[in-house]
Amino acid sequence: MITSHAALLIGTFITSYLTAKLISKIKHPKLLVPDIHKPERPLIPKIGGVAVITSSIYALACSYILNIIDTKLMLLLFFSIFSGCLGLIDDLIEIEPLIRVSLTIMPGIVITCLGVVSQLTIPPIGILQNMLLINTITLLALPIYSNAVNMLEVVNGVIPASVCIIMLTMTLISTIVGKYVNIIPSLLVLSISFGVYLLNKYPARVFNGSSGTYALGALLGAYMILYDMCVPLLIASLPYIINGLLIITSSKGFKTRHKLRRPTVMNYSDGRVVVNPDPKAPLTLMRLIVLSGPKTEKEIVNSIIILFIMSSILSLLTYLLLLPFH
Amino acid sequence: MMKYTVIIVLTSWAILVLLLYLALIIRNFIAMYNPPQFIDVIVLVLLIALWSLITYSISRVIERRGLKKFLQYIYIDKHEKKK
Repeated sequence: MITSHAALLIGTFITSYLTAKLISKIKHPKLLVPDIHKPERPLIPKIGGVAVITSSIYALACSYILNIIDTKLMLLLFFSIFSGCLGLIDDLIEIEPLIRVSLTIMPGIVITCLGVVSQLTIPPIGILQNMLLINTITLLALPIYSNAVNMLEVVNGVIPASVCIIMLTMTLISTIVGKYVNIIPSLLVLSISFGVYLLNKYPARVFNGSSGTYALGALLGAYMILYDMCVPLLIASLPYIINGLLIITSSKGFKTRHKLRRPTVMNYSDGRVVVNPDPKAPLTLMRLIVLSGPKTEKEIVNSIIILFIMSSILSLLTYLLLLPFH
Repeated sequence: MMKYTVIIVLTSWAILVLLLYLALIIRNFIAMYNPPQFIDVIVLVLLIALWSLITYSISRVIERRGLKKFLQYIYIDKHEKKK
């Protein structure tokens, strides 16, 4: 059993890393975008998310062959592949934001129709068994996560690094509270994102693109619902949720990046990012980070990662403190 | 440093925990009247709206204050260069 799980996790990591490495060698001009936060603006491949799709396919096939698959794991990986493909289409031919957001609801509808989730634990409230409430949370969680992760894709390495931090926290919480069935799925998501992280970290050699952000977002949202980790995952991913909330409310709805004013401006003379003084620019986490002074991209990456570490510690403390009360 | 974002994350976390307790109180209160299932959904939507409103308002206030300081800093910087 341990050998099967080790083969699954190590194989997934290697598939993710090798695919990302292969993508980093792409030279096709249509698949390259400039890294605007570097003074020399190097051209980087934008479809790094394909690594998430291929590693999810590997994990699905491997767990099936090794006979360690269950319905929840199958759905988790299937949603990652579906959302990744949706993001890939968006990377290649831009989809209208409203259509894109609507399509991210699909995995939630599948979970609701299959009735895989029969209860949710929300400390301190307790165990929820109201199916109407559970279905509402399920339908909200997946599109929220896919789009919130997509909105924080602003600097190198933040998305895979944050997913690694969140999943490490989920593994720790699952071990402490004795939810051992959650450990393998969380380590699986961790190995998928760690493979991408090695090539997306500062200075990036691949960008996640919508394919990567949607797939990783779907993995977070689906894990939260399928493995009953609503409160800890919600708190650990607070920076995502806050950033998404601020962008949608300050820009009054779903808009493409091209239609929004830039919240920050790159100062190419000293290679630092400064806040855009235009009060009509959307409010984002990155804008708030550079509000206290100009910062290099590396400093912004570190700030966002520190925020995720902080929210993960809060998640761990909150869950362990609230759990005895329900 | 990144004090603005740390304040926002900590505040929104504290509000979230308080709202979870508020949800517990509301749930226990309405349970006495044997309500229909959709009441839970309405409570959830209201709590999400309340959390979003508080978090957005705090962030907006912090952004405005920070932007004011930033613009003052640019103004002073330009003024000193002219001198």
